[in-house]
Amino acid sequence: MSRNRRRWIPAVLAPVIIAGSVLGFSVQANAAIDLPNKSASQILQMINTNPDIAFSGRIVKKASMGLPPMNVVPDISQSMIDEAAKRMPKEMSDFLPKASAQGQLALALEFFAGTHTANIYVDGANKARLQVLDLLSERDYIRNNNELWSYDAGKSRAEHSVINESEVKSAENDARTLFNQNSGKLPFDYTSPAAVAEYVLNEAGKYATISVASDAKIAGRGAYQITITPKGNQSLVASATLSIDAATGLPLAARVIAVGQSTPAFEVAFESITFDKPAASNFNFTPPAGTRVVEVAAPTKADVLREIAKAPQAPSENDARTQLEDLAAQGWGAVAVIPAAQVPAELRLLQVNNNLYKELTKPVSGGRVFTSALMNIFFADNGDVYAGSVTVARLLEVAAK
Amino acid sequence: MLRDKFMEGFGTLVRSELSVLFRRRRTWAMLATIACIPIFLAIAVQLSGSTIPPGEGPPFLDRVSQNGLFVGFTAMILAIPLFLPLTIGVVAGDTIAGEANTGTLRYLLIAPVSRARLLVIKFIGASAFAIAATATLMITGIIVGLILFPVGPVTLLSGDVISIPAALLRIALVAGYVTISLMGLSAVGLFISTLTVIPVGAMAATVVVSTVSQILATLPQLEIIHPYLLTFNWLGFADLLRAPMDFHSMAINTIVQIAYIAIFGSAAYSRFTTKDILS
Repeated sequence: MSRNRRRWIPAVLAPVIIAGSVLGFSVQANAAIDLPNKSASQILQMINTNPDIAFSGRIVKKASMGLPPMNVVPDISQSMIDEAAKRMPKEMSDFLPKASAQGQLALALEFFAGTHTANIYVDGANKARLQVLDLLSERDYIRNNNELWSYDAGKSRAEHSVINESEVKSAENDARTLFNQNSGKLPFDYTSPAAVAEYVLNEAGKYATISVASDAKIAGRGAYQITITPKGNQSLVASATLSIDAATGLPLAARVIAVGQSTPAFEVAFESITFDKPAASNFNFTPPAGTRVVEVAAPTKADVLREIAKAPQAPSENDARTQLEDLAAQGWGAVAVIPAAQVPAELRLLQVNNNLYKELTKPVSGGRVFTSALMNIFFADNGDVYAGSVTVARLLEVAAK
Repeated sequence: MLRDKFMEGFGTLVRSELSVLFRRRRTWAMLATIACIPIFLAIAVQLSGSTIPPGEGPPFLDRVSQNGLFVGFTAMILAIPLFLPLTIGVVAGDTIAGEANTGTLRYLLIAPVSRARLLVIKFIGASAFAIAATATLMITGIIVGLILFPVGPVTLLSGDVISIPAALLRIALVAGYVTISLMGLSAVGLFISTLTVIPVGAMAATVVVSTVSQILATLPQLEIIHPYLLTFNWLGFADLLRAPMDFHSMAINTIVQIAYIAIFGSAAYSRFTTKDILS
């Protein structure tokens, strides 16, 4: 009998050992570390501003924005869904996507939902590649000097554009001239990083508490952390934390925690990183045979000006400034107001035609609201749009004024 | 000397187990059915004639008609969720329960074979079948692809193009990845097989384990347990088709499968060595 009992030892031991090593591994990965103390200002000054930095690593993005459960299938148009609905028996209508999103909208929604993993390769300012690791597929966004490529393996589609060097240079020059002309007006000495950091802390400190959080280990590296906690109770943001690599000053993680949640509503963090120069082959891209290549002309200054002129009733510079200052004065309880006349036509169309709008918003008196963990938007019946990282009550209060 | 003798005896037993397994008509029927997957897939694509627009159908299907080497990959994606686990369920579920059911288990144990060693031999047999199954699928895929479609350099998910020999290496790696995945399931099947004398029950239960695990992996509410699920990384072999080759999923999947083999292997040992063998 005792021999039989001894024979059950492996069956008990194996799960215990494995559970133990899983636990041990996660404890080790999250082990507390202690770096030499730094003030918030010193940490801000540490942030890497050297454009020649080279690194590669794996990034994981997690979003749990508390969006209503939706069934968004990218790149299926509403008419395709309607067609399918006609052919399917009524009982199966639950399996149909409730709404569709296409193009940029689908990309934006995807960004705000779920988990994504990507490899990133950076070699100086002019070579970068983001490799989004989709299941059984992949999307790549590559910059190799003047060449810009995006590639979607699932659709066999690539977009290509060439950066016009002289345009970039002239834009840089314009910006520099503008900066030099106005630098005297800046309320701080821009040549001193410490002065800039102090100014930023002072300004931000009016509306939020900025504190140094405990040091953390991220992607196996020691990191300093700054936490911003908004003052007042109108904001949906409970706190935002930025983690900065102690050795290189590269931001390694950013987390935003919404009011009333314990897990981050939005989180981007390196899972692993190395500061070796990535191989040049990572940035070379030649569209494979059979790929549909779309040439996208890089916008020139003239294009940009033309686009701006097209915008419906673009606010004047003064208006824009008062609006911005008004927003800043409201701190984290800020609500942006877009008068009906300035709402882009595309958004209008969406409100009328797309089921997605009805799926994502719920009716309140005087309009519909879109709610998520970090952002609420109120679409008033008269066409005005109010948006902010604030409670719905605050939005309605602003709208009522 | 003694050790040589032990190895020799062990080798003989493994060889006899494999020869029994691969002489069974059932084994050949299953391998033949597996071979049908890439064949039917290729014929369907060939007969449909029209090129499939990119992004429609199962992943890679649109590439099959341009490059025959994709037949194997596409067939693998189709076979992983149900078909391969089904055949593994039959082989692994049958290991102990099958012998018990036909009354041969008693005679096996009368010969000087420890029960632990019999389990190891049975697991080796099931693993050999997993290798045979994935190899059959891939090799048939390559042959059918060669016959029906043009074959050339292969486009990876990252858009890079690699030569045919490099592509064959990746095909072998993918087959290895799937074999490792199936070995985890084999260990589960082996354990279930020690619980019963009815082989069909053990077979069905093994398939149920793989299916339930895949269903759990689709429920967002259970996200926290997803990384520990047996089947969660099964489709991760696509990472081997990127440039640069990404071994991250391969490493994670191997660790998870080894953990399952350790847990269910020792559970099978404890159960089998304490069991009264009546038949």
